[in-house]
Amino acid sequence: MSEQLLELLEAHGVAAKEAAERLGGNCALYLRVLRRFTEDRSCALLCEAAVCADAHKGLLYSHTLKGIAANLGFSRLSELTQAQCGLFRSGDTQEAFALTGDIEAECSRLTALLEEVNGQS
Amino acid sequence: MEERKTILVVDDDVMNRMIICSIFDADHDVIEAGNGQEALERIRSINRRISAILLDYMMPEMDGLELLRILRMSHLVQDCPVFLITAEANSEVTRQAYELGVMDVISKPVVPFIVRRRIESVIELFENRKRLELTVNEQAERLLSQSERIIRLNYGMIEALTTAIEFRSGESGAHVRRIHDITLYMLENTILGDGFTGEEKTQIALASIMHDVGKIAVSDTILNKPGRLTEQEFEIMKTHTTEGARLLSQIPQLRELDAFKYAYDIALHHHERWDGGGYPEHLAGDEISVCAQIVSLADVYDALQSRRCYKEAYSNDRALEMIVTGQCGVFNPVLLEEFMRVEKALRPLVAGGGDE
Repeated sequence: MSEQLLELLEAHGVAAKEAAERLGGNCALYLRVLRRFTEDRSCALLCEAAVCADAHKGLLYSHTLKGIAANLGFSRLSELTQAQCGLFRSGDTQEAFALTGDIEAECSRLTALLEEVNGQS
Repeated sequence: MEERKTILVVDDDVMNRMIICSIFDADHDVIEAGNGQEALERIRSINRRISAILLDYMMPEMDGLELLRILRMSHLVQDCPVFLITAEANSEVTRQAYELGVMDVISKPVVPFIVRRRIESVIELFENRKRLELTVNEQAERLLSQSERIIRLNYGMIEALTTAIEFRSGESGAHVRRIHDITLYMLENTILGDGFTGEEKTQIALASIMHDVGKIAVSDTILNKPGRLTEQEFEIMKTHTTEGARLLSQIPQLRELDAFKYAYDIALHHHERWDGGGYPEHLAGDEISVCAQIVSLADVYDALQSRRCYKEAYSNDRALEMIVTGQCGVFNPVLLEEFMRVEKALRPLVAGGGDE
């Protein structure tokens, strides 16, 4: 069952096998952590920071998302947040916040995917 | 590792905490905090030792570096290794973290077996270091206590020896203790003590109690003769200075004591006088060491006010008059001036309390 779920995630661009491997092959733990992602508020808080143009908070939540994405194998989200953190650091706040839409869309896509996975597990 | 350790994981993201906790919770007690402020509260409220802190860098409320600064300043977690676990690639953050004393910086995404290995190795290293420190401290304390016992034994032996000699002279042993107190007072309260450290003053005072040790070589007939000694008897009596120095130098354990050089000098020279009129070497002026000069005055001051087999005790006034007028030999004028300045304070220390 776990193997099928990992395959499903892989098919949607999630480096699930590698992420599960990093957790010592503990698929149960990996799926448990994935479930938490659907409840995580980092993306919502990043969007709020974008509305207020608060670069400090923007970097904070983007950075948090970057860590989560790297741990869970969310390759696309990882790329986007890495780019956004880089832009915040170099002072390109406007360009950094411009990526928020893409990040929000990717988080929504992943949330929908994970809800599907949760339904199957 | 056989014993469960307590590990504190500080990360604002619950998923990261879950991953890190899963690495350790089978073998250790893991406590969690969502930011630096929460971590401080956990550290303050926990009543057991934390063996390692795993710290995220970017967190709301208080970030990892800020927490590190507080921990460092407050000494809240001394001897506890801290690891920064971060997705931050910025080398400036890494540099600051190392400067603030982190043991290691571990990058996200974490690889559990590497994290476990690195952290447990360091915990083990710290535990071993603590055990080693404890052993070294225990050994140092044991050695110190042994050496204190030896010093006490040495002092006890010195006191026993000098008291035994005084008993032979029909005295109680209190004279040597009074010489000790007067000598120490003079060293600590007059300019004669300038140039000596506190420890040296203590050693000189200890050495002073051995000033008459050479009397062991003088026969009871002379030592306890009531009345005046003949010229020949006095010549024999005078040998207690050279005999004392010889005796002291023949005790190897004594030669190792810091007090030995003073004891030797005092035993040999405590009857020398400023004008060269003393014995046995007829030293004059500054040829006589300050410590021998002080002890010779202390000896005369106390002896004059004590009853001896050959004389009654003189009053304090009479004793001072005899000292100042040179009836007991000539003393260094500076020594006399300083002595007279503090003499009132010395009265409670001498035989009969200086008539008071």
